[in-house]
Amino acid sequence: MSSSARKLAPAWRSGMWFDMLPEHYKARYWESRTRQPIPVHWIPNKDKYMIHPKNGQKVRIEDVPIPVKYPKECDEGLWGGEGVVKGFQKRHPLRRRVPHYWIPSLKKKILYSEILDRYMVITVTSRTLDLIDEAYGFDHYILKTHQVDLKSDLGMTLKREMLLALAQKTYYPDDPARQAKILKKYGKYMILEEEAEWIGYSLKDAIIKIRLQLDDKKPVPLKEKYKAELLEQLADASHKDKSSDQETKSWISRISPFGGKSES
Amino acid sequence: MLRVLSTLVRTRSPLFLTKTSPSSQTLLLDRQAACEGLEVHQTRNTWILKRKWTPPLNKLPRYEDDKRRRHLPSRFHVYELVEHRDSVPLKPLEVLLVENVEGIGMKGDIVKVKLNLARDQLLPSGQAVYCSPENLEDYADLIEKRKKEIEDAEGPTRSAFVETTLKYLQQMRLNITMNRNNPWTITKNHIAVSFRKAGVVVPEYAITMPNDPITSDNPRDFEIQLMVNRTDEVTVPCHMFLYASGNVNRAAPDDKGAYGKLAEAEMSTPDQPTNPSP
Repeated sequence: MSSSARKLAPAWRSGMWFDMLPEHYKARYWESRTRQPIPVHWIPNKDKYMIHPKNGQKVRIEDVPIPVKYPKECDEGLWGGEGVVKGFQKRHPLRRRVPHYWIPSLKKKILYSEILDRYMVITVTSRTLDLIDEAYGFDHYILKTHQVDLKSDLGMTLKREMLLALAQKTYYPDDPARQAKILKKYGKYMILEEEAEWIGYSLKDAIIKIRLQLDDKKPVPLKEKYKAELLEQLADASHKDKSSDQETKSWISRISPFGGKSES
Repeated sequence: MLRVLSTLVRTRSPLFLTKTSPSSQTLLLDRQAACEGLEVHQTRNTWILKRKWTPPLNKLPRYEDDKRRRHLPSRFHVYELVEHRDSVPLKPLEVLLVENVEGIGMKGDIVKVKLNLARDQLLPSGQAVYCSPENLEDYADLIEKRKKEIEDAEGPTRSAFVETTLKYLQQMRLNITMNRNNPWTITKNHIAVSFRKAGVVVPEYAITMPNDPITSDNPRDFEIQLMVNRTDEVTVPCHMFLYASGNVNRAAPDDKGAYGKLAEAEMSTPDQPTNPSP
């Protein structure tokens, strides 16, 4: 964990369960928190300095990113990094500024994933479609784009499914020619299966996942073990006793002349 | 050596069935030019903003990864629109055709098409693929095959516009206007001129006339055969119109001239359509 990452981390993020998470997940998690996304709604400056228009002096300039809000709906679609910008408009120099929200225009499109062999109706923006064209296909776009720029749970879920399919080779099981084609096309994105199954989980979900996994591996206390053994033994014993009782009864009844009378 | 050059039927530009056979490349270029010209319409796209007032500079970072920033008051959240690509023309997309697509191109052609056509139709249906370096490598033999086909062909090759042209020719009815007073015999030149008036350029050698000649003594509706690319044949019905302009010496009612004969023929066969096609 880098120093900056440690500063970002509240106490519970470095707690017991977080430490239990696999290293590759933790590395990806910190990267997703520290990495700067590609600016979508503003244009960054090319240089660090500029010449002042009036006095001709060298002046430092800096990028101050415009804050963007990502509503929960953006996790249900692929907005291509777009979000809602909240701010003000100055419509007239003599009038008071007016609050304004710049919202993306969304549309539903049918997109096809080659690896998953699935058609999906997904809410997208024009930017997403442009990015898909730029990447030469939907699968390439999802696999190529970083979590920070994808900015969508749906996108990350699709990424996990694709990477898992690539790692487990579950695509087109009946068509070896097509399988080879897919492998050639998307082989460069392949990662290990253990890593692929952790991609795209939020920290909360990841902790639930690790807890469930650890629950399965938990050592059974000796108390439980001996209890189970004892119960087994007792069950056996009672079974044996029953059978032996029946035998004895029958044996006694066979010998004793009073057996029958006493019972009746 | 016959080839359709362009099929911009909707714009009423003439269809060419010319003797000069343009290479497939010209065809594609034509299409690209058309597509670039037409593809300008409104799109809603990303908002790109900038601050109206520049905030004061932050202090230089004291240590590595110093992320501290000054708090910005509301006036620094007044934004101006830099660019909303509201009416930016959509750039046409270059795709590689994997199948023959009517009106667009043949298998192995690289064509520029309208963006939405590619996204909604050609790419999802598998008729075309993106022109990515990998795809160009994968389909290299397909592209080469198509190139060879164009180069090696002695005569014209069957282009993607043949079907569209055939459809257009099949639905049309050719009106031939002739003089009512003077004697004439219809030749291929008359047919070609009539086609040109209807917006289709046809060379004379592509026309096959009916066996018995049509003269001013015996004006009637007839059918001609058109050969497209020397591969496909279409039958086009022709309708005669007799016309005289200016100070006309109308024929006497008892003297049945050409007009009178035509009228008679129409009366006797009421099934035949008399209205000229639009």
